[in-house]
Amino acid sequence: MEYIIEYLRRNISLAWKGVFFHLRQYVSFFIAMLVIQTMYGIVTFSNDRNNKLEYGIISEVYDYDLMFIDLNEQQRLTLVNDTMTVFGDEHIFDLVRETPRAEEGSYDRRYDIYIKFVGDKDSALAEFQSRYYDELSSLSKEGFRVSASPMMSYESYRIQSAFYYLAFAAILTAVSVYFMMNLYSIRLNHYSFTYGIYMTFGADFKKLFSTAAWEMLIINFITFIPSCIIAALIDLIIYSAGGSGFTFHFFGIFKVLLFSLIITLTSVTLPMLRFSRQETMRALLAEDNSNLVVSPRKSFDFHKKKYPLVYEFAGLWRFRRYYVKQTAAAVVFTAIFICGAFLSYEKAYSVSLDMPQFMFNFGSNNSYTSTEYKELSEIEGITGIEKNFSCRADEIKSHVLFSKPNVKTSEVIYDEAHPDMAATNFVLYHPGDEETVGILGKGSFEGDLSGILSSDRNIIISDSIKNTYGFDFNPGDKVLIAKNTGKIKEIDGMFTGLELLREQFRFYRFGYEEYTICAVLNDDVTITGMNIYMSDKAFYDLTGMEVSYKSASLYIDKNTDVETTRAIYDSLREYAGYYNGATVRNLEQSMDYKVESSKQKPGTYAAVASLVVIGTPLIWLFSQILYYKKRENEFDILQAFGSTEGEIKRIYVIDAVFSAVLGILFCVIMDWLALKGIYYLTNVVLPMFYRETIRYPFVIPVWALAAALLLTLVSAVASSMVPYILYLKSKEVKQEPSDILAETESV
Amino acid sequence: MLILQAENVIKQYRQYDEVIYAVNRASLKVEDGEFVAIMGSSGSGKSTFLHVMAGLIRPDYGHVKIRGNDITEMPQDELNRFRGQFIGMVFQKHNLIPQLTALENIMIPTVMCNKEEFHFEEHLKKLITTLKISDRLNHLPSELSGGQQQRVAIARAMINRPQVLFADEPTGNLDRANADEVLDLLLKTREVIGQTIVMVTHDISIAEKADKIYIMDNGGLELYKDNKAI
Ligand SMILES: Nc1ncnc2c1ncn2[C@@H]1O[C@H](COP(=O)(O)OP(=O)(O)OP(=O)(O)O)[C@@H](O)[C@H]1O
Ligand SMILES: [Mg+2]
Repeated sequence: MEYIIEYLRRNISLAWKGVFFHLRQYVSFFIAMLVIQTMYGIVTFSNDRNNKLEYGIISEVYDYDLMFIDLNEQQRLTLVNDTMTVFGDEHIFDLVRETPRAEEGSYDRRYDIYIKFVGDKDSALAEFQSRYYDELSSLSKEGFRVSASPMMSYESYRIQSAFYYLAFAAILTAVSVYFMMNLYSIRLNHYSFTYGIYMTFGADFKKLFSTAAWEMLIINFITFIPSCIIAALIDLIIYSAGGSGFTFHFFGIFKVLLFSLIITLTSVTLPMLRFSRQETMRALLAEDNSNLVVSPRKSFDFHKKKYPLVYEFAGLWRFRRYYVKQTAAAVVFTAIFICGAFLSYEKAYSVSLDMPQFMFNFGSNNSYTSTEYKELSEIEGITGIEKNFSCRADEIKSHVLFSKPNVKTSEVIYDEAHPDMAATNFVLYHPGDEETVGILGKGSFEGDLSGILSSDRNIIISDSIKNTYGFDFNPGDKVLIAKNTGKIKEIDGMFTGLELLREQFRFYRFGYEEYTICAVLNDDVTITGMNIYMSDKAFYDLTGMEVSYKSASLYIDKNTDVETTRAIYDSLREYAGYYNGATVRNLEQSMDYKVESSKQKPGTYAAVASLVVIGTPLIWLFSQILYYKKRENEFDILQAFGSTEGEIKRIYVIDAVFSAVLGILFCVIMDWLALKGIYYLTNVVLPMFYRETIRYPFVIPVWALAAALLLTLVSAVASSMVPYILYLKSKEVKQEPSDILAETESV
Repeated sequence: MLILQAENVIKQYRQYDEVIYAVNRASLKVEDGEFVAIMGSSGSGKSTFLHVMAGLIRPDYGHVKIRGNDITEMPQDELNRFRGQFIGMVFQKHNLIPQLTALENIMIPTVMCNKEEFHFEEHLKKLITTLKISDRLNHLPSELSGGQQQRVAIARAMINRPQVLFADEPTGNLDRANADEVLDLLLKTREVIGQTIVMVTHDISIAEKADKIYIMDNGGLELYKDNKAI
């Protein structure tokens, strides 16, 4: 124990001295650590706050554990009476609510009953099932229907959200490690000689690592508390601006500390490991910037030319790999920033979308007609109705042919029999009438939607496939829709999707009808494929199915409160009672909206992204200051041989211009790629793993791009001009020329 | 007992299509406690050979064994530790760390390599008085004269009492009197701890004090004179 304390004391005091005697060298690390910890703080504190708040919102909506649907009088009494009897310990549930339907005393009198368990939910459920399920079944010839609320499995939901936090933290960790590792590599690169001497006199990786790690840990601890305070303040601002409250959960600071320790140690380990594995002499040779020189032989022959201008370019050329590397390393942070800005935009977009609150199924013997439309519209609180009926192309052995220039997706196949055409069977055919046209009209489209009402040869088509942009259609373009007309051979049942279509091309015969696109839908998506709307008659001709809408999605105002939503639901249940077998499913979209909008994700993403981008000026400045510090020697010698101060200044200025041009070039390329990449990731890759129902429009976050370019420009210029100012200052202090030469040795 | 054995060492530098044989099949055997001097014209490969023997450069071919351990085959990490334990190095260019004071520079080996049960305080005192740098300890290398820098570098190489000391022109920057004093110090330490010394020098009068003198020519090494045998 004593030994451990002594060990800690010695190392901490050594590292403390190391950091404070060279405070200027470590400024970048302080800032970087502050940024990283603040990022973690923002994400962690807001995550803790969101979890708490989310639980609040969800448990207000789901104030029950089980919901019994349409119980009759006797079934009801079984439950209700039992809660009133006091069984002491055996009391396992409370009655939350009951909603009766139809006249009191009538045979049709039905109840929805909501109960909540007391104590541990799982054991209470088991007990409840053994006590009541048989009895409830026996009291009605239809048995009974029950559905569990998400509260029954809230723990697993929590695990899922913890997983998201960890995934996000992992991304942040990767970015942070990259950030710190870059800084540390720059440091190692410039202090290579010092560490080489350490190696000469016996330092192994462990030794080198521990000298470095202790210093970094000290920095870590110094910035920790300020970072947490800044993070909490930023969260406070984000949530207050968004109109919701922020509560701070103290425990979060330990997560921040843990992550920042992991980051620090990883980002020191890797560069140091690589460094300590090299030949010692190689490390020693880098006393000046010679380790950054690419090839002396390939430099310009500036002797024969007029000295000044070419000399500056010679420097740029010799250090070209250094310039490219450090510019790329610095500018990458603007690309990460753009990704954050884009995610922030997407999050805001997804929160702003309207989603249906209820799904009304009319049962197998009923269907939705204009009567139902009228009656449902009249229910208080319903703001929109979307009837659903469709037919999958592959189910009726159909597919669609597009002319090649229209196709921008790979979800198609090409068949020899149809040159210049692409085919897909990832298609949903929909019948459409005036009501459909009205609903589609609320989305984003081009062309004339009512075209399908005037001609059976017109269709409305979506330009997306599987939730992503896939086709470049214009109104007036033609497509061919196939109808199966016979077969040569039966196809094995194991084929699906495009494989199935390929087989069908070989063994089936098709007849094609040409349709004209009268309108193109831009934001109409389905995970199954693409939507095509046509007149009822055309739909019947193609599919052989009578148009009969079996379900409708119902919309309510997103801000509707819990009580009102329940009332609307009860009215719908009442209405469903008139239809045999009809059901209403509450999708709880307004709850999701409340949860999502209160999380203020767009603000959080934007804040984190804005912090990350500090990496750009930081890396650039740090690297260039060290680089120039070593070149000062060279400039002094140049001056000793007669070059003027103006000529020296020109070296810095030309470097600034060059860095700016290179930086802007990198910024444009990297940011553009990043934007495309993150769009592809969120719109194509991620939807493969979970059912994404949103197609995000590709929007260039102009303000973010402008900010990135400006920052790149400023950082590039500053990274050359700040070292120049430092150089001038250091010369002011020292008057004697010999002093100047002496000082250049001590970086 | 053989303490150092270099066999057929080759080190070549390749620059594009040009190949320079800095060390070309050099072999050297040194007994424990011996003092060996290497002489030769500029660019003949003396420093490179010394660096190879100290494990700072890996040869392209050949082996170097110190105390029976083949350091050319050793993993880098182990090699660094080994060097810390048994080898001292004085560079031709003093190679002091510019940010550290003279004393801090001298102390580097004791910080980087913990030799068990070794108290350097006494030794340090003797070193700095003999090397006449006791009043310059708190100066940065840039504030020292060339000779002082060299003497600090010698102190650094000797502070841990390495069994084998490689010195690349340690007296190059010193005047006659100082050079002789430094050499006396080296030889005295050798007597006390039985140190082995391999020294590159241009100074024939210093070389004369060595047990053996080798000449390096164009990367090859030849015995020039064996003072012990005479
Ligand atoms: N890192 C290197 N890359 C390329 N060539 C090198 C390198 N180091 C040394 N050389 C070349 O190897 C040869 C031997 O160099 P070395 O420094 O060993 O000579 P030396 O005998 O110590 O000379 P001096 O007495 O001048 O110190 C020289 O021709 C030198 O140019
Ligand atoms: Mg030499």
